[in-house]
Amino acid sequence: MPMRTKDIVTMGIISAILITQQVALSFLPNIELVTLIIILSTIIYGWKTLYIIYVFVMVEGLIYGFGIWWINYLYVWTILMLITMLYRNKRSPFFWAILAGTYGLCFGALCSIPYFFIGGASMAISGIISGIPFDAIHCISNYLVVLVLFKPLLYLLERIIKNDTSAN
Amino acid sequence: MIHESEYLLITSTISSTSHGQGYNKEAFFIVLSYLWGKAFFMPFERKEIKMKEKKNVFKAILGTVVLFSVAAILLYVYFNKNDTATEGRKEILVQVIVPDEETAEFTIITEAETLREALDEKNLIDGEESIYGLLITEVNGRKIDESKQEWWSLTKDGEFSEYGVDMIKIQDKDKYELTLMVGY
Repeated sequence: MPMRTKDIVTMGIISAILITQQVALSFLPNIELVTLIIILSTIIYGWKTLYIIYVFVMVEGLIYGFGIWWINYLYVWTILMLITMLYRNKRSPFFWAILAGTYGLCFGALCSIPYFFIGGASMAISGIISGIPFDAIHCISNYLVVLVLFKPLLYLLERIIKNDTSAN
Repeated sequence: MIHESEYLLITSTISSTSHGQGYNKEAFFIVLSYLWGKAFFMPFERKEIKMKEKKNVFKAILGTVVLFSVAAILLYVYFNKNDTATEGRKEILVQVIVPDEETAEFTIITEAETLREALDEKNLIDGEESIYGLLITEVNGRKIDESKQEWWSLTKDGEFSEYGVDMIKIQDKDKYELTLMVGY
């Protein structure tokens, strides 16, 4: 992954957008744009999204403290990026909305992995069950956010990149 | 409709057969037969595109329905798995555990249906209302210190509770523990 100055600036800006929107929307439970931005970034920038994810995770830790949730953040967003990499050529907003919704629904289960090691299966399972309402909201909000914003944002990003390439 | 690539093909055909002397019959027939062929097959192509579009719409609807159905089933299971409360008078035991402090025990005799109602009767808890119910911030006068990442854990007979205090339906002889935890 060779990085040019332009890439570093772009990754920095996207990371900043990711962090800003997360903090701005943190009062809304499980309604976020992180999933959408990571999907879009992976489609456009591929593996370079790893930089964005880990800058985001690092800053989130500095803002909210490095708790168990932070261990979840070390892998949950990377899993989303890896899944997105598999379907990177897809352009249907419905496809991405369904994928983002499924990811939102599984988010609690993904986050419960550390609890298997901390408190055993009972702690992990009770965590998953108690998180069902949160996951359901996450599922619906992810689905709607991606369905509405995926196409216009992808169009804008692709136009920016096209203009940028033609300028060089 | 003629695509840009087809336009190029037609113009290159005309120019390659006209030898710079204007349009001739050969070029005219080649282009005409191409356009006729395209016009002939267009309904089939259109039908194919329409079929594909229909298939995609069907897939999108099916995927959405499946996703929301799974979410609805999970919510249904979550809200119906909850036990029902014992009717009438019941006696429950609540332990308040703070590390390095003596465990406080409260026996509550109540006719309340939920744990929250029972705890409220004794003014044992306080907290912040959220769309998911009460987030306990204070138990028996001991407030959490968010800067130290403190929080109250609710367990029933030592097992982590799957529901918040608002949703726990109490039964006679239930035993609950409210433990002050440190670290999210």
